[in-house]
Amino acid sequence: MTSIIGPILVYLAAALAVILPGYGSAKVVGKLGQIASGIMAEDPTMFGKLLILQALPGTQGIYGLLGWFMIMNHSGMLGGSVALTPQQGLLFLLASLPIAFIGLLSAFHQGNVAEGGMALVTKHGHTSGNAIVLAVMVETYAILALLATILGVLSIAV
Amino acid sequence: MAKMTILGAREDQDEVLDSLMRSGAVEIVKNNELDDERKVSTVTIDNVDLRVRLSRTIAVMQRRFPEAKRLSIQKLPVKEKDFLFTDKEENELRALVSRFEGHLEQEEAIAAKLSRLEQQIEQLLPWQDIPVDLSQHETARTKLIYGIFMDALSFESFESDLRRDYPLATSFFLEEEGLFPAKVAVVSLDEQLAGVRARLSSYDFHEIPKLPFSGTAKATILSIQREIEEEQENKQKLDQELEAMADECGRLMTYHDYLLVRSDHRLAGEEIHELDYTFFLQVWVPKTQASDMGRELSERFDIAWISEDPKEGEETPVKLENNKIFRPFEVILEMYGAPSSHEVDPMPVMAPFYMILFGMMLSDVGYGAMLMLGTAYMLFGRKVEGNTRQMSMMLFISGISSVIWGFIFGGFFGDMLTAVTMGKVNFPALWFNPMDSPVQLLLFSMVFGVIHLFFGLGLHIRNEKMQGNLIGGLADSVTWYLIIPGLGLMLSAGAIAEQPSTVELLKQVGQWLVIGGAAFGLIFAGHGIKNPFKRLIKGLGALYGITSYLSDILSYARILALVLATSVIATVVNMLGMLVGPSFIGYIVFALIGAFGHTLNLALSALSAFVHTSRLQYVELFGKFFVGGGSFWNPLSRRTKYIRIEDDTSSN
Repeated sequence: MTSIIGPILVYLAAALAVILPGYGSAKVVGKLGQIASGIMAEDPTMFGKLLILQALPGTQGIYGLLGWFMIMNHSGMLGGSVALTPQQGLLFLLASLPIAFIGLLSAFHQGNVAEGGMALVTKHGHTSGNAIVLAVMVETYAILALLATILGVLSIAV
Repeated sequence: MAKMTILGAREDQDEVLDSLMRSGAVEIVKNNELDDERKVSTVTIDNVDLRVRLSRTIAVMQRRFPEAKRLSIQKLPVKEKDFLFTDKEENELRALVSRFEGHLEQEEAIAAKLSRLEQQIEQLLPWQDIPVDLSQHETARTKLIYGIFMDALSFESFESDLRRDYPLATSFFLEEEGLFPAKVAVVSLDEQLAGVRARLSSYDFHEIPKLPFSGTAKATILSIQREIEEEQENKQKLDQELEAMADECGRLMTYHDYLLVRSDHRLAGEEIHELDYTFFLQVWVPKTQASDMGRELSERFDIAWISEDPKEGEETPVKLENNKIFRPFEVILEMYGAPSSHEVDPMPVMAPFYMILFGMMLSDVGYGAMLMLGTAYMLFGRKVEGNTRQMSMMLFISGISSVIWGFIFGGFFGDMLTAVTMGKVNFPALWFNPMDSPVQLLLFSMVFGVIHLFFGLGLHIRNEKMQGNLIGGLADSVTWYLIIPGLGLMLSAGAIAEQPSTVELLKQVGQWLVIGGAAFGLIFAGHGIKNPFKRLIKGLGALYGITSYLSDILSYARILALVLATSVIATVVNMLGMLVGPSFIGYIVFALIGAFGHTLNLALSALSAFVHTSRLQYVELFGKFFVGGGSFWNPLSRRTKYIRIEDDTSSN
């Protein structure tokens, strides 16, 4: 029985890393898509600028997948090995927490900034660069969380 | 930039403005006081209105007729002498636009009518074998209702209702009996019609719609079909006439741009100060061109001019001048905003670092090559112009950089070679593979970030020097030039050298660098402040800036995250592709999944690389020196949308 607790925890860690940021990204990108369609109903030429803003909070989902891969790869699960102790499994679970939670939360916050950016770009088309940068400021913390997860995962001895 | 003041006679005003527009070398000094009270004249509104109609007409022509579409691929070359319209020609073109719009409206009406007729046929089709005049709804004393009973049960219940309540009414099958849905004619006395209808409506019965025809369904269908044919002929005729009008598309495009230039001309004219017999206006001219421009104008017109340097502290328009490789990257700066005219052009630092950082983030030979192919098509195939051209050129150059970094980090569509050959062949990395040693890349990213920031500080020194505050600039920069490498040495001495004595020495060097830097900051940060106490406080405040440096440097860790994101997703795509295994079908599956997955990954990763490289420039680099607040050089010129004006002489 104890022999499967380790692998289960690792799978849980990997799943959390994908599920939470993925959920955040999907929800926010969906909301921004609706707003963008509304704006485009007035002015279809805005598509390019709006698309970039919509895509920005989508990166958290990608970082989540990246976290999943690092966990699965480093634990050897991707290669089919399941020989992990419960302690190791727990460490993987803890290491996945930064990207799981900050990925989720930063997607929401970045979405809010991107939403404001869409309003800005609609009024002043030439400010799209500034709107993008304002939204990207939030993403920094998702990146830092991803780094914490990656470095944390790599430091676990397998 | 020099400020040129031109004074001339009123009758020359338009022509002087026209030749300034042609030169494309001056920007009018805006008269800000006018802005509030400026009213939009009806002439301007008419001009805009006509231009909108023209663009719409041109768009329709180019969408529908290949002859006109060909004109849209590139800007249409137009001779100078053809870029002029007499009143008669203008009226003709306006009439043409109106006729075109009228034709489009007619066409729409015909299309609506056609779809209505086709709908009617659709409704009549099931009835075409019934040899009864369906428009015959009454006789002298009875009314007739035609329709369809969907099932036997409703029909039978209806029949029994009739027998009970209205024995004089009856119903007939119009086709073979017993087949449902069944077409039925219901006959009732005039005065009972309402009651029978009420019964009918409670069953699954669909009455045939009333049609504006008489005769059997078959005859009606035939007559509708004839009408459709007629309308289609009309439509074809309209289409031919529209196509004939589209021959004038080039002329319309020229006219649109002519109106655009005229509108700009009028707007520029509003900035001119008009007196009773003379006018004067002020323009910014690049210093080197000022005297030539003045001489040329005074030869042709009766004008007086002077050119003077801008006053101390006065903002002038910012005209960036960079070589061919750096110029495309100006788009990035334009997205951020213009630098002040009192600071150095950041492009010489920004452009090369943009190339390098973008290349690192999208470090993949395959993706870089795809990006190059895509942008090369935009540049040389479609020959895009303006901002899109600059953007494509910038991405093309960044694509080259991605290919180079792809070789350095050993990425070709992720690990495609390894995946396809089941591990027999590996794409070699010239330096190291970030997937194997991410920590190494993390450190390298930060070291690279420090270099990037130091270049930014270099620009800061130059800016301060231009302002005559060299010592202040040095105080802000040299402190960090010493402290950051010093801290780096202290932290990483163990990793750089192996022998304990060397490690100790490196640590010592680092320590002294830090102390030296801190001392420099403490002494010089408050340069110019007399009170020693205040000066010390200022120095301490400057040293507190270390926190911002730490966060700036950490920010470069995103390079590692993005490198890994690109290659990990590529790896996942390859892994999914090879699930079927190395067989013939397996490779087909791989090609399909690969084509889809890698294109998607390229789009996402290139977007990320673009966005995050921009951010590193805007926030981290610009934060070190950028003043901003200027406005970009926006010379008065003949702005065109569809055409390119050619000199009469050059093309002969």
